[in-house]
Parts: sequence; C-alpha cells; structure tokens
Amino acid sequence: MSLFNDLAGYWLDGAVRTLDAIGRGFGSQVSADPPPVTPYEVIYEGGKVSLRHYRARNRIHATPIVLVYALIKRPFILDLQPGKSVVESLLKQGFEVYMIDWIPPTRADASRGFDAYVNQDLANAVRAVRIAENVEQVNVLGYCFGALLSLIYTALHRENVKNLVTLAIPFDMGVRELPIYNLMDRVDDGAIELITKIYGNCPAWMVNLGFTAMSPVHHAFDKYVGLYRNAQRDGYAEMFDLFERWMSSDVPLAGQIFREMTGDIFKRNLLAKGEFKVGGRPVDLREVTCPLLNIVAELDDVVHPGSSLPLPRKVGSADRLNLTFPTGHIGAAVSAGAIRKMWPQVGEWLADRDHQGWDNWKNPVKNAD
Amino acid sequence: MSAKQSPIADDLAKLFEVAWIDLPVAAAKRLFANEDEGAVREAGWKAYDAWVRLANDAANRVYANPAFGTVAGRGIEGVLRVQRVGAAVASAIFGNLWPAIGLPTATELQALRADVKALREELRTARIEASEDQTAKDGYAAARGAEAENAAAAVIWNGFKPERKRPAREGKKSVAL
Repeated sequence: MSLFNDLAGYWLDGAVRTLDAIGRGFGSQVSADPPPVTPYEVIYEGGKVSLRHYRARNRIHATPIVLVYALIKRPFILDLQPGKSVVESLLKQGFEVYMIDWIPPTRADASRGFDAYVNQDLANAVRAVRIAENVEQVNVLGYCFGALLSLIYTALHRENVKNLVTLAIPFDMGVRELPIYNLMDRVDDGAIELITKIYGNCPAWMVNLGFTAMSPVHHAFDKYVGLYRNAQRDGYAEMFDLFERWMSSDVPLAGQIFREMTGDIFKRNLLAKGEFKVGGRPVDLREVTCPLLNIVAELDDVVHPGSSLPLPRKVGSADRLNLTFPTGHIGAAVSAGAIRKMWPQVGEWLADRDHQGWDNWKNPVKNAD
Repeated sequence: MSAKQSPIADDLAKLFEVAWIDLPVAAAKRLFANEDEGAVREAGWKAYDAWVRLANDAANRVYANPAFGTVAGRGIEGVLRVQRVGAAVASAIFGNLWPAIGLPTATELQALRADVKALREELRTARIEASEDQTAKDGYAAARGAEAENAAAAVIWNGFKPERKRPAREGKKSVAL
C-alpha cells in the first residue's frame, strides 16, 4: 500500500527531524542553515548581531532596507528558494537589502532584554548600514517578533528610520482569539521565572514545543498527508524539506527578553497600553512619526490578525496603512502568492516614499569608481 | 438555542455527510456504473479534510477550556519545580558530595581520559624510539662484533706470543721496592 508506506516514511523522517531539533535544543547547538539562495557578505558583527548585506544588481532606490528577523528561529525563511525569497524580490525591485542575523544567546547572555537587543544591537546594526550607505535614514522591515523589535526601535530612535514596515506583528495582546493563548495565560510568572532559573534562557526545545502546540494535528500527521497528496507537484517535496528544516531551526530566547516578552507584552499587554519601558525609557508609540505600513496575514494562526490590526491607530504617523493579505503567518514570507502580489506592493509603497532620499544619497558604488 | 451552528457541530455534520453519503455513493458508482476510482479518492480526501478540521476544532476547544488550561498550567509549573529540585540535587551531589567521597566528576574523568590518551601517545612514541634505538644498537653491536673478530684475527695474524713467565731466581737478595 503506497499510501501507508509513503506516509509512514514521511512521518518517520519528520519524527527524526523533530527529535534531532529537541536534542539540539537541550544543548547550545543551532542547526546549520541551508546554502543561501542569494549571495551576501557580512559587513558588521557585534553583540548578538551579524549584519548581512545583499547587493542589488540594478539599484534604483536610495534608502536601503534593513530586515529585522525574529529572535526565535533562523532567518533563512526570508531567502528560502529561488522564486520564493523575500530578499530576492526586494533586490529585483531595486532595493539594497541588509538583514539582521541574530546570533543565538548562550547562558552568559541570560540578562539580555529588549534594552540590549534594541538600544545596542539593533541600534549598532542600523548605524553600520547608515555608514556603509552614507545615508541618514534607513527603511526598517520587521517580521513577527522582529517587527516588535523594529517598532520599539523606531519609537526610541525615530531620527534613523525613514519608513517602517511591520509584518505579522504581535502587538495588541489583549486580543485573545487564538486558543493556545488560553494555555499561556495559565502559566504564571512564577513558572517563567523557574524556566530562566533552571536554563538561564528559554531553551530552543521549549520554543519548538510552543510552535508545535499551536497546531498539534497539523504537526502530528496532517503535514505528512499534505506531502503525500502533493508529492507529484513540481518542487513541493523540496520546499517541504526546506520548510521543515526551518521549523526545526529553533533558537533559545535570552532569559530577560523572554521574561519581558511573556510577562510585560504578552500577559500585561504593556506595549499596546503605552506603559512598556525599555532601558528605563517609556516606549511612546506616538514617537513613531515616519510612514508605517502594517502587513497583516489574514489567515495567521501564530499571531492573530486582530492583534496586528490596531497598530496604525496607536502610532503618531500621519501616513499609516494596514495591508491585509489572504495568507498565513509563514505564507506571508514564502507563498508564491505573497511573492508575486504582496511584496511588489510593499516595494511600491516604499518606492513612493523614497524620492526624498535621493537629495542626500551618494551612490557608494559610483564613489568607489 | 442559537440558530447558528458551532464550528465543531458544523464540521461534524460535514464529516457525517461525506462519510455516509458521498463516500458510499462514489463507491457504488465505481462498483456498478464502472466509473473510475477518481471519484472515490476525491470523496475519501474530502472525508479526511473534514476529519482534520474536526480534530483541529477539538484541539482548540481543549486549549480554550479553562479547566484544561489550569491543569496544564499547573502541570508545567509542577514539572519545572521538580526539574529545578532535580537540578539542585544533582548539583549538590555531583558538585560537592561526589568529590567529597572521593568519586571523580565528569570533568575530572575527561581530564583523566585526556591524560591517559597523552600517556599512550608518549608510550607509543617511546616504544618507537626504543625500538629504533635497539635496532641502531643491534646494528652497532653487529658492526663492532665483526670489527672485533677481524681485530682478533689481526692479533693472531701478527704472530704475537706473550713472554713466558720467568721463575723467581733463587738466592736473590735484592728486593724490588
């Protein structure tokens, strides 16, 4: 019986992959990334940041884009496959792209919170881009947790941000539509403290468990059935492998930022209420005065659309927009539809707001000549 | 009672519809009307999709249940507390008590293994050196032996004969000092 044989094979592969990820998560190892689709060079390394530079062949926009990825998985999902790569799409549209590759924290980094990640690492990375590009401001584009970091950075360092794009941002955590949130609500602050006391950081296997618990039926077998049903589709199996590799590329979350994220942002919703502080400074979202594009994935089952949608109402920008797209949390980055339709819209929105940059911009390539 | 069905009831109704109507009809058509198995397969996948939706809804209902949330929350905390106590006990035993009763720690064992490995290496090197020395010595001795044999032959060849011991002279008065 091919159905059962194939399914059993797929399921075993998946089980081995998951066990491997969990095993790695108990230690401090992080899985190796697949070879990059788009070539890049690392132009800066410091703190917990490694800054990648992807060079556009035909650059037509002055302001570079800094992609801020989440802290809990590896960023190769943004450059997964030729034709299914956000980086590739933005480069083709003539943007110079930089991406923040977060270096996984060790136990010695347990005290790193939003202050260290935003005011040190992200600030240093943006500074490195400004120096490299000889520009005053950059476009910041954050994805999921990275969008949260980008928003906080923009509120605290607005002078450096020309345009802000947030994608699937977990902003208003008062929206408790996802059932898994109920479970999280019941885990009290004492348990969070215990996790950081035992492990220092939130271990990678726990991050993995959290993702798996969000859709247990899918992860237990439905995805393998999906693979069986689509195995004949061109490139599906390869994409499935890459995607699974990303799903098991969990990274530990530094202890302090884990406490702040779960306690202050998730449980008490302090950011949306305007009461969140980073490094002793209140994060006032009215300080976000640059144009804001807030992308919401309508079928998102990791960050409920309802928790992203209220963001534009809370910022001080006059130019603010919600862009909703019928895709899921990950689909926003890798689905063919998003690459074909959504990302060109994002590029267009950025391009429309880029013209002022040309006055001050000196093309570094031309200068080099 | 609300006129609108809950998602779980809706999914259940769909599953029943597919399992009890679509699937048997497709199977009967395949059997009697000699239609291809595509329709049966399609009905099968439809049933599977309905079942998955139902399972997802059920899982979501379980998560949304406050009693489950409370039990799971307490369970997680309990497991963490046990783990913390376990870590503390392990640290006390393996960190302090273990060495105190003279048993080595993992680090010490590793160091010991490294030492043994280094000693083995030294021994192997020494053996090689010794065997090379022995070979050299053997070669030297063999060469010297051959030389000595030749030398002895040369002595004999020279025709040297030691002088016969003279007997003491009788009546000798002088004494050699």
